[in-house]
Order: sequence, then structure tokens, then C-alpha cells
Amino acid sequence: MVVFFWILVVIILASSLLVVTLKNVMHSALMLGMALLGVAGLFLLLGADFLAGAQVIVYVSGVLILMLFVVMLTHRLYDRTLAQTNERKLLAFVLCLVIFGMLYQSIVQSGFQGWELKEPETTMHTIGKELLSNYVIPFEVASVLLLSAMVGAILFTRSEPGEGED
Amino acid sequence: MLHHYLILGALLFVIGIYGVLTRRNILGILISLELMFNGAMVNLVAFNSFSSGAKTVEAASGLHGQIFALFIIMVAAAEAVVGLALVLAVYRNLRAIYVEKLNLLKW
Repeated sequence: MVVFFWILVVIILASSLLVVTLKNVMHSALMLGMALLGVAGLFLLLGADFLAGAQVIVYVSGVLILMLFVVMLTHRLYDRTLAQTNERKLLAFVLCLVIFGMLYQSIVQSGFQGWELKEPETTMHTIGKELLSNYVIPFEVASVLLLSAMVGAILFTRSEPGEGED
Repeated sequence: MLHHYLILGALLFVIGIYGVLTRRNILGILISLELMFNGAMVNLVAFNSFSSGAKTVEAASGLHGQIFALFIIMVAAAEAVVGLALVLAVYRNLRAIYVEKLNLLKW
């Protein structure tokens, strides 16, 4: 278990560092897929089987494919010669270091070290029951949100009637 | 063991912030945002899986953290769809997707 955890940590951290440093956006989108798969493996280690499946289905094969499509649609050949980052890298790095330092301090001081991992169980049954009893209103609101996101996406991307196809 | 997961979540979040701050490309910013979402999700699921010792009266099933993470996945999908549609609209109008070109509202 512990070995798998550290392998996943290495995969996730390496690929997410590559996401923010690679020059080609296409490559960083692919690296994002790697990081998302690593997080799905982490969910499996934590005993969240349904969530790992949802992560792979929704994120890796939904959101990521959509991103790859948009990267290819908006890509121009000379993009590869342009700088993909702005010139405030150092400032951003210092800011991130400060934020991480604060988070690290509060995590170390909080006394979570003694907590134990609980026994893994099948979560799908319970999640289904909870979603249709305690969480039924957020569940329905979620469907409205997804519908409105779909309508909004169609509205933004369709071309005007008079405008030529491009 | 729990603090390892929490530190990993914090690292993912911070790497995402770095990407958001330094990328010029709107798509790069969206990709880094997904990293930040994942950092938060790792935290929620880790707390859920470790918190059997601190079970409260209301948390009868004890899977509230995972259900919350499920809603985060849903919201992230909706956000990505709308964001990518906006990127396409911006690209069609400006022929570029670099953030410093988006200065139409600058007086």
C-alpha cells in the first residue's frame, strides 16, 4: 500500500510540474491526463471506488478530450515559437512558496498524524442511496446546472446567421 | 499517513496556482485550474477515508466527503465546458488566445 502511494505521488507531482512548465499546450494537456489518472489511483488507495471510476470517465475521457479538441482547434503553427509564460515567473514562484509554507505549517501543527485509514467498503450502494435521499436537492440542482452549461456552450460557439462559416 | 495526503493536495493546489499565474495561454490557465480542483478533491476524499474515528452523529453513512467530491467533478465538468466555449468564441473574434490580447474593456 505504502509503496503504491509513493509511486502515485511521484507520478502525480512529476506530471503536474510538467503541466505548468512544458512549452507546448498540447503536451501539457496530455500530462494533465497523466496527473488525473494518478489522482484516480489515489482514490482507489483511499477506498473510494466509485469516485475513481467517475474521475476516469468524466475527467480523463470527458473534460480532457474536450480540452485536446479545443487545443487543436485554436492552434496555429507559429504558436510554437511564442513564449507560453509571462515574465513574472519569479514573483509567482515566491507567492506559491509562501502559500505552500502556510498550508504546510497548518497541516503539520494540526495533529492529523494519529488518524487511521478506515476499512474499505463498497461505496456505490451508499452513494446511490444518499444521492436520492439526503442529497436529492443538490442532485437536481446539478442537473439544471449541467443543462444550462450545455445551452451556454452551444450559445457561445454557434456562428451568427449572417456570418460566414469559419 | 493522513498528513501525507493533505500535503500532496496542497502541492497540487500550489502547482495549479503557479500555472494560473504564469501561463499566457487561456487554455494553459484552464488546464492549471483543473489541477487546483484535483488538489481540493484529494483533500476531501482523504479526510473522508480517514475520519472513521471522528464519526459524528449526523454522518451515519460516512461518505459525505466522497459525495461532495462527486459534486466537485460535476461542477468542474460544467466549468470546463463553458470555459472552452468561451475560449473558442475569443479565438474566433481575436484570432489569438493570449490573455494580454483581451484588453477590449481597457480604457
